[in-house]
Amino acid sequence: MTASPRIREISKKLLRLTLDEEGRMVEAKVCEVLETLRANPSRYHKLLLQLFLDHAIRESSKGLAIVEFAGKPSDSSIESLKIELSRQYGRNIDVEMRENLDLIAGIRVKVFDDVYEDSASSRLRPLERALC
Amino acid sequence: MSNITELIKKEIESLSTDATRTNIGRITTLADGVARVDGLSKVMFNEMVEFPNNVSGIALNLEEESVGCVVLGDASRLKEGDEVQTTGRLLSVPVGMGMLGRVVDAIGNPIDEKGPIDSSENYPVERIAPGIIPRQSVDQPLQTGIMAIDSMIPVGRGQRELIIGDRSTGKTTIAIDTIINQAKINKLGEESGDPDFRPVYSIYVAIGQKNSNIARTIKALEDNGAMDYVIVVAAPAADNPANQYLAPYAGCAMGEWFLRNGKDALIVYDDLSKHAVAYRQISLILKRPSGREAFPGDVFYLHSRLLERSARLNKDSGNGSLTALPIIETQMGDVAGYIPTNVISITDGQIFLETDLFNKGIRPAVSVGLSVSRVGSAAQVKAYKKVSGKVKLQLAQFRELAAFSQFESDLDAATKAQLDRGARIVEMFKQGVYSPVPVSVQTGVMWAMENNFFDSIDVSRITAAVESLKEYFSSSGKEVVQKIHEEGNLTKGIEEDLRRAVEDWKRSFA
Repeated sequence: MTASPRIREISKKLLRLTLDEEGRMVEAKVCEVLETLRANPSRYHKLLLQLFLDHAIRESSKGLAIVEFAGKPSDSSIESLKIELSRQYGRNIDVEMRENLDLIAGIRVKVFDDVYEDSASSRLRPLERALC
Repeated sequence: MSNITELIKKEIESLSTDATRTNIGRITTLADGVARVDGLSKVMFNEMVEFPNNVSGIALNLEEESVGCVVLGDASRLKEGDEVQTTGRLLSVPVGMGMLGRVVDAIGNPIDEKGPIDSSENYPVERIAPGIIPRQSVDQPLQTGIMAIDSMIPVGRGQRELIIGDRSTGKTTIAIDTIINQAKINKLGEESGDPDFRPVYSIYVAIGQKNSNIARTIKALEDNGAMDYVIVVAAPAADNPANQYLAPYAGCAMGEWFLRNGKDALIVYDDLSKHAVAYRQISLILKRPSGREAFPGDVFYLHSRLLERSARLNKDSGNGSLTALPIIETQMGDVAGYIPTNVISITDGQIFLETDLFNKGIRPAVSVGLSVSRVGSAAQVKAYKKVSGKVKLQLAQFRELAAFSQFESDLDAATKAQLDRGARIVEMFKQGVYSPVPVSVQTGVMWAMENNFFDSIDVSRITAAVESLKEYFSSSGKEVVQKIHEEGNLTKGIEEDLRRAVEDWKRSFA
C-alpha cells in the first residue's frame, strides 16, 4: 500500500515526539509513542509503523559516524574526529568503529549519506578507471 | 616496458591525494531504467550519479526522502541495495569541429566505429537559452534548396521552423535536403575562397527512429557528400527512453558550440513527437503527476527550453546562429493535437505537409494555406523576393478556385487564367528527393514563370520544362545565374540577360 501524504506527515510528527532537546531519539519516548499507537490502532497502523521505523533508522544514522579503518587509529584521533564531526553537523555524533581491510590503508567515515574517505583503495580507484 | 612503467608512474603522480567527500545513497527500487535512491541528500538536479559497474545516471526527481535517477547505461547490471554516489558534474557532451562527420549516441559516445572523437571541450546538455540582449533579428537566409519552401516559406538563420505532417509525407526528406543543400553551398563557398563566406554546419538528431531508417539517412548524407559537415546524434527506438529524452539536448549543446563561436549551424530534431512520448514514459515511471494525454505538466517547457536555445546572436556576441528544424508527426492530419499545438506556438512558423497532396504526386507536399514563415521573409534574397512575392497568393487562390471549379463547367476567362497559372506553379514546385536547387537558379525559373514563358507549354510538360531550364542554367545560362548570385538583386541589365537566356532555352526546348 502506498502511503498518502497525510500518513507520511503523521509519521514525521511521531518521530518529532521522540526527540530530545539535542535532537536525539529517546528510548522512553519511543516506547510511549508505540504504546499510544497500540492503544489506538488506526486503519493504517502497520503502514504508519513501517514509516516510523524508516524515519527512526534515518534519524539514528544521522547521529552515528561509521568509521572504517585498515589500521586502527589512536584513541586521541578518534576523539578529535568525534569532536570535529559533532561540530560540523551541529549535533552529538557517536562513533562506531569497523575494520575494513579492503581499504588497504587509511580511513573511511560515513555519516548518514556523506562519505569522507582518505584511503589507499580510494586513490587507486581513479587509476583503475583510467587504465581500463 | 620502461615506457609502460613511466606511464603508470605519471598517472599515479597526477592523482589527487586529498581526502574525498562524496554523497551516497542506495537503490531502493529499480524498474524500466529508472532507479529510486534513498540518500543522496546533497545531489543537484540533473547531476550525474555513479552506479556500480561503470553505469551512470542522472538525478531527475529530487524528493524529500528519495531521489529518482534515470539510468543511462545497462540497468540490468544494477540491483536493489547497490550504492550510488554523486559526481558533482552536470551531464555534458563533447563539442567542437572534431564532432563533424561523426555519429554519436545521446551522451556523445561515438557509435560509428571510427575511433575516439577528437574533442577537448565539453558543453552541458542543459543550458539557459541566450537572453534578449545578445540576440538580433533574423536577417540572413538559410536556403533549403527546395523551391516551394525557399519561395513561399523562407527560412532565416537563427529561425525555428517546424516541419509537420502525417507519417510518410516527406518530413525527413525536407530536413535531409536542407542539410545536403548546406553542404553543397559550403563546398562552393570554400572553393570560392571568399573570406566573408559563412558555412552552415548541421546536426541531425534522430529520436526514437528505427535503426534501418537512421542508417538510410546516414547513407543519403554520405552519398551526397554532406557527411563532412554533419553530426548525427542517434537515440533509436531500441534505446532506453532516457537516451531518447536526452538526445535533442545533447545535439543542441553541440550546435551551441557553433553558435557561441561565431559560426552558423542548423539542427534537425527528428522528431519531437517521439521525444515527448519518451519523456512521458520517464515521467510516469518517476510517478510525476500526469495531465492531458498522460503527458506531464512540463511537456511544454520540455520543448520551449530546447527550441529557445536556437538563436541569431548579434555582432557583439559573435554573430553566430543556430537554426532549428523540429519535426512533428501528426495523426490523421490533426494539427490541433496537444504536442503539435505546443510546438507550433513555440516555433517561428511551420511547413505543413499534406497526405492528399503527397498521394497526388505533388512532392514536396507543402500545404500553402497552413504553412507560414513568421520571420524568414526578412532574410530572403532581394532578387528572389522580387520574383516570388506573388506566388503564395496565386497558389492559394488556385487551390480555392480549383475546389469551386469542380462544380462549374462554364468559367470566365480570368478564372481560367488563374487556374491555368496555378496548375503550372504546382508543376513547377515538384522536385525530386536529394536534389536541392541553388537559389540563383530558382530565381531564374521563377522569373520565367512570372514572365509567362511557361504559358505556351502544356501543363503535363511543365515539370520536364523546369528541369530542362535548370539544366540550361547550369550549362549555357551559367553566366546570368552567376550574376544573380553576385548581385543578389534583379537589376534591369540582369533581367535583360535573363530574358535573352530564357528565350534561347525556349527555342531549344520547343
